[in-house]
Amino acid sequence: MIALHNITIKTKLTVILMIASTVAVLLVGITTMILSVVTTQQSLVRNLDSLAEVIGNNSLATLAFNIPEEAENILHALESQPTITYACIFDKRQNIFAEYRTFKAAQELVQQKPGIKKYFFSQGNLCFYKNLQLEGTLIGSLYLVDNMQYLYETIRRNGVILAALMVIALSAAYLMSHRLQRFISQPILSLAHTAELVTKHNDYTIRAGKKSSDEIGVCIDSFNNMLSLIQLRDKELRRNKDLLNDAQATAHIGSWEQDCHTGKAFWSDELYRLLGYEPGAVEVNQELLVSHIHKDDVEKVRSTERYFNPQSTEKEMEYRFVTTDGSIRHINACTKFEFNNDGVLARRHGIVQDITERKWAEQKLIDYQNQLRTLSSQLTFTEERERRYFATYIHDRIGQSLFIVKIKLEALAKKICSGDNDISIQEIIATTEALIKDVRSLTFDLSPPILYQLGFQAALQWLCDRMSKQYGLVIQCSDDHQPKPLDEDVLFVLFRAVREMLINVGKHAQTQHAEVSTWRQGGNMYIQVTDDGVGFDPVTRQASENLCNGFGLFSIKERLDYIGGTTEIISQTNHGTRITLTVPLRITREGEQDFAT
Amino acid sequence: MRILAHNIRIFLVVLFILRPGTFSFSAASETDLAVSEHELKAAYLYNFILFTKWPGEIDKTSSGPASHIIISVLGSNQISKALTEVEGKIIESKNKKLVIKRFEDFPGDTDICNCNLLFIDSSEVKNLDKIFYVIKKRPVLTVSDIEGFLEAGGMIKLDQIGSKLRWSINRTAIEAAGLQISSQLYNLATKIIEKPVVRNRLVKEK
Repeated sequence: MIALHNITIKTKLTVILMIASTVAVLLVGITTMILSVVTTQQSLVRNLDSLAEVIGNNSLATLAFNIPEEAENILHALESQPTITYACIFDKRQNIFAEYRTFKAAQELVQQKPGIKKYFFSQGNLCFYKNLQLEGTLIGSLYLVDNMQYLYETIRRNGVILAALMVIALSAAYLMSHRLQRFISQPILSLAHTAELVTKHNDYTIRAGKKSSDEIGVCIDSFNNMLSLIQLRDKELRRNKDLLNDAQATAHIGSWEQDCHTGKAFWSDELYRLLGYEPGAVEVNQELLVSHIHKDDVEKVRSTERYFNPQSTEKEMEYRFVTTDGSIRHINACTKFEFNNDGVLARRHGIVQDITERKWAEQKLIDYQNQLRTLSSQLTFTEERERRYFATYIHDRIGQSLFIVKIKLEALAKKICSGDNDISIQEIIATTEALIKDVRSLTFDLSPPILYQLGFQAALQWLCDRMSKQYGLVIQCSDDHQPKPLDEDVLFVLFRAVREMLINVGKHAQTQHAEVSTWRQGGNMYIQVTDDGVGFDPVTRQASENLCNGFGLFSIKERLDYIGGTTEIISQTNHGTRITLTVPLRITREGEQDFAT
Repeated sequence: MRILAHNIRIFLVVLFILRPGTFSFSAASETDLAVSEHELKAAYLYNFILFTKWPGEIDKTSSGPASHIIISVLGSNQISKALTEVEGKIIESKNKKLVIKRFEDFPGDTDICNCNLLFIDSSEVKNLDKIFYVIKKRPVLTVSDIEGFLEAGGMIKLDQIGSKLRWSINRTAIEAAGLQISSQLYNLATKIIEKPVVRNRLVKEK
C-alpha cells in the first residue's frame, strides 16, 4: 500500500481498478469453482446412488439364491462405467460375495467393509455403500469406488475456462480503466498543474478550468475561490505593507524579526535605510544588525539580552547605531522575546526608532537650560554685588555723611543753646539719628557688611541673633572652627541660603527651636539647618515651589548647583526638617585662606 | 456331493438372514452340514414366493384368501417337513401369512388349486396332466423337478446342475396364469421356454 503513495494518480487509479476487478473476478471464479465442485460431488453421489440402486436390486436374487457367479456377472456390467474402479458385494456377514475390480483400483480402498458413513472421500476417490435388503431384512451390501475422474475433468475444464475468462475480463478491465480513469485523473492533473503554475510564478490571477460538477468540480471552484481570496488579501497586504513602510519611513521606525531556530531574519525597508542600505540590498541576519551597534553600546545590549527570561518578554533601551557611512544614529529599541513550551527562546522581534533628532533637541534644551541657569545665577551674583556696592556706598558715604551731619548738628546745638532753636536742632538730630539707623538697617538688608568685614561665621551668628529677635526663635549656632576658604560670591550665596532657610523655619515650621551648624569635612564645607517643626514632604514642596516660581528651596538648590554644591533635604511631616548644604572649598596653591572665618 | 452340501449350507445361511425371527431350523442348518436337498428345495420355494406377484398384488386388488400365502406340496414329505420351519411366517412385502398345505398324493379334486404355489414331487409325474387340468389357468405357480415339466405346461423346473441347484422357466405358462415373476428369476434361470401350453395333452394321450 505504501508503494501506491508515490505513483501518479493515473497509475494509481488504474492499479486500484485492476485490483478491484481482479478481486471481484477471483471471488466470482473461486465461488463458481467451489459451487461447481460441490454440485459435481453431489451429482456424483446421486449418480452413484442410482447406480448402486440398480445393481443392488439386480443382485438381490443372486444373494437370495446364493449365486455369486451371477452377482459377479452383474458387477461386470460396470465396465461400461469407466470411473468405477472397484465394486464389491458383501453378504450379511460382510464376507465378500462378489467382486469387480479394474487395474486402476487403489489397493487401500478395495474390500473396505461397510462403516457408519453412506459415502466418504478417500485418496481422490468417492467410496459408496448401499445396503441390500430383501423383505425388510439386510441381506448384504454393495460397495462402489468411483475415481471421480468426472469431477477432476470438470475442475480442470472449469479452471481453464475461468483462467481464460479472467484474462479476458482483466484485459477488458485494464482497457476500460485506462480509458475511464481520465474522467477522474484529468481534472485532478489539471488542478495540480494550475497549482504548480500559481506557485511557480506567484501569480494568483491564474484559474483552474472546471469541466464537471462533481466533487472535483467543487474542489476546483473552492480552489479558484481560494485564489481570489489570496489575490484580494495579497493586494490588501501589499497596500498595508506600503502604508506601514510609509509610516515607518515618516516616523523613522524600522522593524525586524528573527527565528531563533532557523536563524532566518527579516528587516523592514526603513531598517535598511536607517543603517544606510538600500532595502533588500543585503542578506540580513542578526549578526549584521549587531555589527551596526556602536562599540560602546554593544556590551549594554548584550547584557540586556543575557538576562532575559520567559517572565520578562519585552526589553526597551536606547543605544546607538553606526550607519554604513559612519554616522551615528541614536535609536530607541523595543525587543520582544517569544518562548516555546519548553521555555527556549523561539523568536525575537522588535522595532528600532531613530531618535537622533529628538536627542539633539533634548541636548539643545539642556544646554539652553544650563545657560539660563548660569545666567540666573550670574544675575543673582550681580544683584549681590550691586547690593554690596549699594550697601557699601550707603554705609561709607551716606552713613558717614549723616554721622558727620549729626555731630555737626550736636556741635551747633551746643553753640546756639537758645529756646526754640535748640528744640528744632534737637528734633533735627533725632531725625538724623533715625535716618542713620534706617540707613544702617537698609545696609544690613542689602548686604550685611559684617559678612566681608568679620567673616562668614560672625555674619551667621549675627543672622541668628537677628532672626531670633525677628521671629522669636531660639537658634543655636555652632561651628567646628576649621578653616573654610571660600570665594566671596559663594559666601553671599550661602549666607542668603541660610537666611532663607531660617525665614522658612520662622514662618512655616511652627517651632521655636532651630539649629545652624557648619563644619568642614575633606575638601567640602557643610552647613546644616535643623528644626523640630511640622516638617513637609520634599517632593510636593518642590513641585509647589516650581509652580509658584518662588525663591525657596528649589532656588537654593539651583544656586548651589551653579557653584558646584549640593543640597540634601530630609524632612517628614511632624518630624522636623534637616537641610544640609555642601560646597567645595577653594584650595589655593599657597595654602588655605580662610575667608569664612 | 460334499460341494453340494457346502453350497446348501451357504444358502441356508441366506435363508436364515431372510427370516425375521429366530428359527431353530436356521440355527441347526448352520451347524448341521448335512443339509438335505429337500431342505434346499424348500428354501427355493420360499424364495420364489418373494420374487413372484399374484394377480391381486399386481393390480392391487384383493383376491383369493387375502390374508394367506399358501404353498401346497404334493407328494414329498421331506420338503413339506422342511417348510415347517417357515410355516406361519408373515411375508412382510405381501403382508400375508405363510400357510403350508400337504398332499400325500393327488386328491383329484380342485382342492389342490386353492394355493399360490404348488410343488409337485417327481413321484406325482403320473398325475401331472390331471393336476394341470384341475389347475387350468388358475394363478398357481407350479414348481417341480420332473423332467419335461415345462413342456408339460409347468412353470418352474428345478435343475441340479453340477453342485448347484438352478431352475428353468416357462414364461408362457406363467404369463397365461396371470402371474408376474421378477426379471431376476428370469436372469438367473438356466433356460426360458416360451411354448404355448397344450394342457390335457398327456391326459388325451392316455
